[in-house]
Amino acid sequence: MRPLIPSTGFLGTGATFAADVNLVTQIGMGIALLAGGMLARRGCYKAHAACQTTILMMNLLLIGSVMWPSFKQQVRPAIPKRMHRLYYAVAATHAGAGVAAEGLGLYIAAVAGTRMLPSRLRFKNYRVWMRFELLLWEATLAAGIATYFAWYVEPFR
Amino acid sequence: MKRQAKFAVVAIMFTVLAMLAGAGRLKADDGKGGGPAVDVKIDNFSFTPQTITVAAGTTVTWTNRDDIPHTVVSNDGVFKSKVRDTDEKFTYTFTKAGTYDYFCSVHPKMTGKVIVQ
Repeated sequence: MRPLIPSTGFLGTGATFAADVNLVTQIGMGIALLAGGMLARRGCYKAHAACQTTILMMNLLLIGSVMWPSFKQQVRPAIPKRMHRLYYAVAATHAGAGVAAEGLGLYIAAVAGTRMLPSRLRFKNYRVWMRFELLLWEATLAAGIATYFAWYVEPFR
Repeated sequence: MKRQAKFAVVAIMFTVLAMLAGAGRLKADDGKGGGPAVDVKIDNFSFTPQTITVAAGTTVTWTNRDDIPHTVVSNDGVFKSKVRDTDEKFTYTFTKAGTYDYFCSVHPKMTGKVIVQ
C-alpha cells in the first residue's frame, strides 16, 4: 500500500503539519477553556456550557485523528520497557492525563448538561468537579507541549 | 613411499580446497545475501549521506544514531520501517534499478534518496 506522505509543519520544527495544527489548536482550546471558566464566574452558564462542550468535542476529534495514531505508531510499542527515555515518559504521561481529562470532561458534561445518568452517578458540587477538570486539562496541555518539544524540536531534546 | 607422498599431496590439496569452499560460504552468508552493503546514518534530524547511488542487489542499512526515534519510509511504499529507536537499524535490499525517495514519517522534513543502477 502506498503510504500517505505527511506534509511538513508550519512552525519550523521537525513536526508534521497535523502535529503543528494540533499544538496550535490545543493551546487555543486551553485558553478558551479558561475563558469559559470566566463565563461561569459571571453567571453566563449557557455560554459557559456551549464553550466547554464544544472544546471537549473538538478535542475528541483531535484525539482520534492526530494524537491516537501518533501514540499508536511512536509510543505504544515502547511501553513499558523504554519508559526511562524522556520522550516516551512525557508522551505516556500526556496520554494518561489526556484520557483522564477527556473522560472526566465527558462525565461532567453528561451530569451537567443531560439527564441520562441516574441520580446515584450524579454529583452536586459542580464547582469542585469543574475546577479540578480545568486544572487537569491545563496540566495535560502542559504535558502535551512538553511532548511536542521532546519529539519535534531539536534544541530541546 | 612414493605412493604415500602422492596420497599426502592429494589429501593436503583436498583439505585446502575444502577450507576455501567453507570460507567462501561464510563470506556469502556474512554479506546479507552476498551483495554489497551500504550504510546510512540517521543523526541530528537528517539522513547522511542524503543521496546514495548503489548497484542493484545492494543492501542498505540505516542506523539511528539520533537520540530520538525515526522511521525510514519510501514515498512509493516499496519499504517501510517501524519506529527505530536509538542505535536500532533498518535494512533493505534493492533488487530493481530506479530512484527511491524516502522520508521519516515522524519528521517529514527528513528526506533521502537511493539511486539504484
